[in-house]
Amino acid sequence: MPFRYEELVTPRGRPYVRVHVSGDISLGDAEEYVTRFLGPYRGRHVLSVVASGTEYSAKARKHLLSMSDAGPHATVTTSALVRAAINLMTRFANTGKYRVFADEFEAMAWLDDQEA
Amino acid sequence: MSVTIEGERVDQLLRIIVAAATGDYELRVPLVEEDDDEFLEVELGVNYLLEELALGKAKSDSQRQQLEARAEELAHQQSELVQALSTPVIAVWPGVLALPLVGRVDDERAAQITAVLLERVAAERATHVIIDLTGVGTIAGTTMPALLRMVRAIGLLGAGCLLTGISPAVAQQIVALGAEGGAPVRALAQLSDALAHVLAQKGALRG
Repeated sequence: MPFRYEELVTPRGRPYVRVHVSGDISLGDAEEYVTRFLGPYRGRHVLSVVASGTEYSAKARKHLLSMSDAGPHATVTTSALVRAAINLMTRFANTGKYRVFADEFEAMAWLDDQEA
Repeated sequence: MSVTIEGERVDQLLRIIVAAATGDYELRVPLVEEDDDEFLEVELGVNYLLEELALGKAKSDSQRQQLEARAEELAHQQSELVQALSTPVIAVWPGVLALPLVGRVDDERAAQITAVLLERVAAERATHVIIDLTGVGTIAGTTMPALLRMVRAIGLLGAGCLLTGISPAVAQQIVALGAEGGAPVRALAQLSDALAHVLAQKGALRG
């Protein structure tokens, strides 16, 4: 599965969902992801750790962009390609609650600062 | 913002854009993880755009194929409907069939009329067939013999054949073919005349 979910708590005690992302992401994967974040995880803070080599299909990208009303989302990746892909997607999404980091510690600090 | 880009990356991107402009959406900009700069987003963005174009083209091709299949199906249905309408055999009285023909009669249509009519004559044990040519403007040159053969075939099945509504041009065609002599053809001016004649023969009309 390209997405693996964990329900954790930030250092300041705020609950968040950590998502491990890797591999090729299909429309079905994106649908499952969106269903979770419009359902049980609605409004939750998210920390996604995206592995190098992760690829989003065109349909998956579009579906992920259709998700509105999401909580603050920090993505951690060391891959320039993944960062470029996420930057492109967030340009379309036009959301201010999304940031990409190379370092997980910084990502967690930013996430913990965000209002619920 | 200032980014220094190797000429090769720009050339490669331009080649792919030019290919896309000619309808080739299959090429992709090769992406290298080490090219960690803002231009990487441009290259990836072009790839995303190409993917969208390829998806759009595939969808368009699929819709075109569906439309072509539907058009073919409709043409087939229309052909069947035209065939049915072009041979409207009507039972106007028990044992009496009428066939009002309209439009141009060519060899193909004559063959179809013959097949349908002979089948109905046999199935209904018809004694009389009235073929009304009022609506026939033209009979193709080679078709008249076929129609006259049909008249003879109807006779062989034991039914009498009456032609009505013969135009001057068609009359000349029949005469030119010398059909008057042997063929059991009786011609009357109108369909109603033929019907009255047949019913009188059958004793259905009195007075």
